[in-house]
Amino acid sequence: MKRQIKILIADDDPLVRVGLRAVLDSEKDLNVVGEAEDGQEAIEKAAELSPDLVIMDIRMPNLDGLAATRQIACGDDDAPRVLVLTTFELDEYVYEALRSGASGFLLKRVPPTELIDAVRMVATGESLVFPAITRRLIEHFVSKVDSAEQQSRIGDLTDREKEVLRLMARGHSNREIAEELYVGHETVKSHVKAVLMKLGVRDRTQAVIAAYETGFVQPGPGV
Amino acid sequence: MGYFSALASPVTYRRMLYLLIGFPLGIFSFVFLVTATSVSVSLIIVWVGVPLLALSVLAWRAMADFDRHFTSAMLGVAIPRPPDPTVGVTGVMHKAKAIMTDVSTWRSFTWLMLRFPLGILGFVVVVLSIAWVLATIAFPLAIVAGAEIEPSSSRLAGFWLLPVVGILLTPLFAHFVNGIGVLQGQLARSLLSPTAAQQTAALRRRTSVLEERTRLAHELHDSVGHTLTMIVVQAGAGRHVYDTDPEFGKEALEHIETSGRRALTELDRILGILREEGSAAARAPQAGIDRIQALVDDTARAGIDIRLTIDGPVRDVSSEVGRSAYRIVQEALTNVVKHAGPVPTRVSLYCRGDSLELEVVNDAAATPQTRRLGSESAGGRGLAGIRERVAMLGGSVQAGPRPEGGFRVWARLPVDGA
Repeated sequence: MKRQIKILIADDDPLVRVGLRAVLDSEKDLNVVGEAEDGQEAIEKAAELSPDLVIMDIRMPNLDGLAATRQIACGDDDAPRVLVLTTFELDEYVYEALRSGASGFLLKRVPPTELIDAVRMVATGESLVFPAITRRLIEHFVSKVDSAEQQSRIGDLTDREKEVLRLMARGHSNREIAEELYVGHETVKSHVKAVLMKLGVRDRTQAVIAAYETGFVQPGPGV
Repeated sequence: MGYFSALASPVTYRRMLYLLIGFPLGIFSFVFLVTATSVSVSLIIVWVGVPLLALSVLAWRAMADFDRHFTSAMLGVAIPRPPDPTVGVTGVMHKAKAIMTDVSTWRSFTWLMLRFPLGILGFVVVVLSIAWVLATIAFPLAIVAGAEIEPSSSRLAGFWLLPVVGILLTPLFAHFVNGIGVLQGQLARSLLSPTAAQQTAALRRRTSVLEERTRLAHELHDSVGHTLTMIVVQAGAGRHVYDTDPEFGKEALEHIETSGRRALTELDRILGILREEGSAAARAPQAGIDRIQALVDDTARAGIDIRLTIDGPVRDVSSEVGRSAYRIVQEALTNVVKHAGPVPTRVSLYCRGDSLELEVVNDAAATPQTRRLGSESAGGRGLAGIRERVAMLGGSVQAGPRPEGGFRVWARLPVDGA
């Protein structure tokens, strides 16, 4: 059996915590190891339990989810990934959370199966979580950042890697990219890895944000 | 406009027509106003004078309305209509008072009275101009026709040049008529347009309506949206684990029931406010320091033990500061009703020197329910809105749970904040 994904749930509403826990615990490969009521507790529990993934509400007392995400997700590659929880999809705070290092976001109202898929997806990093909505969110709130450093990093990519980044930004999963480019799944995986490394980001979502911020990908249909 | 082109311009003739019609209009206005007011005022001792006076006032306001359109159309001067003073006012007596104290009523009266001398002036100028032009041009014809002319003038050297001089001078009259027309148009506009104060008040009322609407939208979004989300989360989880954990399914249904009921109560409350506002049309209760008492009364009616303390000349604050104070108290009280429930609450306003301080405190013990007040408000839109508003006025604000339980919102605003 595959290794279990350890999950920490941070939300100030007990009903949300109970609901999410019930759904996640029903899957054999998912394991809710803890719950937190606010951002401060989330940071403490994340350090204590070292989960693979933190599901984080944004509006919480004491320390909000944005600050907590910044602290938790800024660590090294082993730092837990953060899935931000939100009530409404086009929320500026959610974009802020993605920029702060969250790997994806989750609408509280998604059906249980999608919730489970999202958690697995973030854990493996094979695809953006809810690619269509995530893309819309980024396109809505992105502002171009004039960073010579970022530009030169994009310039360092090979043509193939640029193509892969473009497809990632369109919301394609590794499998879809492999089909589109007529290459193997493993090849795509290594391309994605190279892209993340050259851009100096820790996951797919961050790479896509960088692609938009540098203007490498323009908002709008297609590429 | 070139010297001669004034003669070719239709504007000149429209102005001329306006000045000519101004004469009968002026006579009519004057006669009507003088008769109507004197008759009704003298009959006030007998009751008929009162309705007669009311009718006269309405009539002259209608005449001013007509003049706005007429002058706009004839002279091409845009004259916006002042706001209706009776909007949102109920009761005949209140309406009458609103009309009689409306500055536009008396400005209209002034304009209609001025129409009389202005009408005579305009008419005389236009008629004399036309007469002079026709006379000079037609003078030789009169001689030819054998009219009796004074011998002295027939011996004038420039006798046959008179029509030429007449033609050359005609545009001068046209310019003169134009000038008088423009002056009358400006006078009409300055008396019949809304005053700066009326414009500001209208703008403020509109802002107030929009603010209230935005506030309700946010509230709906925050409270009902939040509860519905909760229901969906619970329903999804319940369905997902129903077979393996029926006990959880049952609990989820219970939560759904409670949350659904809460959402309905919230919806009732917010829609109630909306309906109330809808029925009062555009009245938009002018948010202000005077209305804080009403706000407190409303909250008391919701079953909350609430006290209001006012100290110092709070009525002297600028209307902008008063409006902000109202919104802050409103937001704080909404949060109390929503999150803390029926707990003792104090609202205090202190005005000292150049600052207004306000404080809303509730004494709820630190129950789990009031904890949620802290969470919701600390990150919610309401308090963020308060912070923005206070910062704009150059004041300061503090909001947070109290160590002894409950919640406190405190703000200080400069009295003359813009």
